[in-house]
Amino acid sequence: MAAEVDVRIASDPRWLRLARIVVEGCCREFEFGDTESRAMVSALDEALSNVIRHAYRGDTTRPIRIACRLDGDVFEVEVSDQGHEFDPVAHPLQPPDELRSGGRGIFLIRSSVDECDYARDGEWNRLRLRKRLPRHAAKR
Amino acid sequence: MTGGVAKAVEIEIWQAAGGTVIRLAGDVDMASSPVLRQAILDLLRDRSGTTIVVNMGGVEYIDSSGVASLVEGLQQARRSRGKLRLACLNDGPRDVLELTRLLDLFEVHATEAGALES
Repeated sequence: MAAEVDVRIASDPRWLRLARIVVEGCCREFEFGDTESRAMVSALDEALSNVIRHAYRGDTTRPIRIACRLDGDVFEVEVSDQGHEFDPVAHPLQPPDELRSGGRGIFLIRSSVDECDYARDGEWNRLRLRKRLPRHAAKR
Repeated sequence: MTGGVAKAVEIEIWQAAGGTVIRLAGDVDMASSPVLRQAILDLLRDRSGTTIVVNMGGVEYIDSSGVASLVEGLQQARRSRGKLRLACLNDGPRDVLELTRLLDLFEVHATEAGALES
């Protein structure tokens, strides 16, 4: 299925806000409420931060693709990068703790969407974030 | 670049009768959270019993690295027998703190004045 919105950014944190604006716009188009929109945007942002930090290890010049599409009654955002293999889904989901500084981003990703899955596709990492549309919007 | 889409978080610091206020405006994310972290730690350095109020009324978005900066600031404040309080939380940051189960860790006040007076 073709992406309805397809954005490519460099792996520079300066573009995180732009990516959030794009996905928030998609959420509005698909009639997500404020809470659901914020959750999807948060999952996307944490996924991109993980790509920059872990897959690209801080290199700010590498490509990241953000593809947004509607699949039935599910809004899907796919984040792709060509960095080191990094599977946030494989990490055990530990509840955040005051004293543990790591892991909050992965917890936020997995708590904010209905489904997320990771695949290594050749040189690409692909993380798909899926969130079901609100009932009133899905019926249209 | 500091303006436009990739604008940095703006930090204003001022001294009030009841403590030091950090007023934030903008998104706190991977790009901007190091600035917040440094501002908090600089205020706490070599001081004991300091009260810091972080006014988040201008923040609509905070990520896990921003939350980590606040938690680190709170821990550092406790170590130096000080306080770090949050004020004027918008729905977005509140959602993130609730989801990460850290909201109850902080003293959260509806207003900056309330946070300074308590």
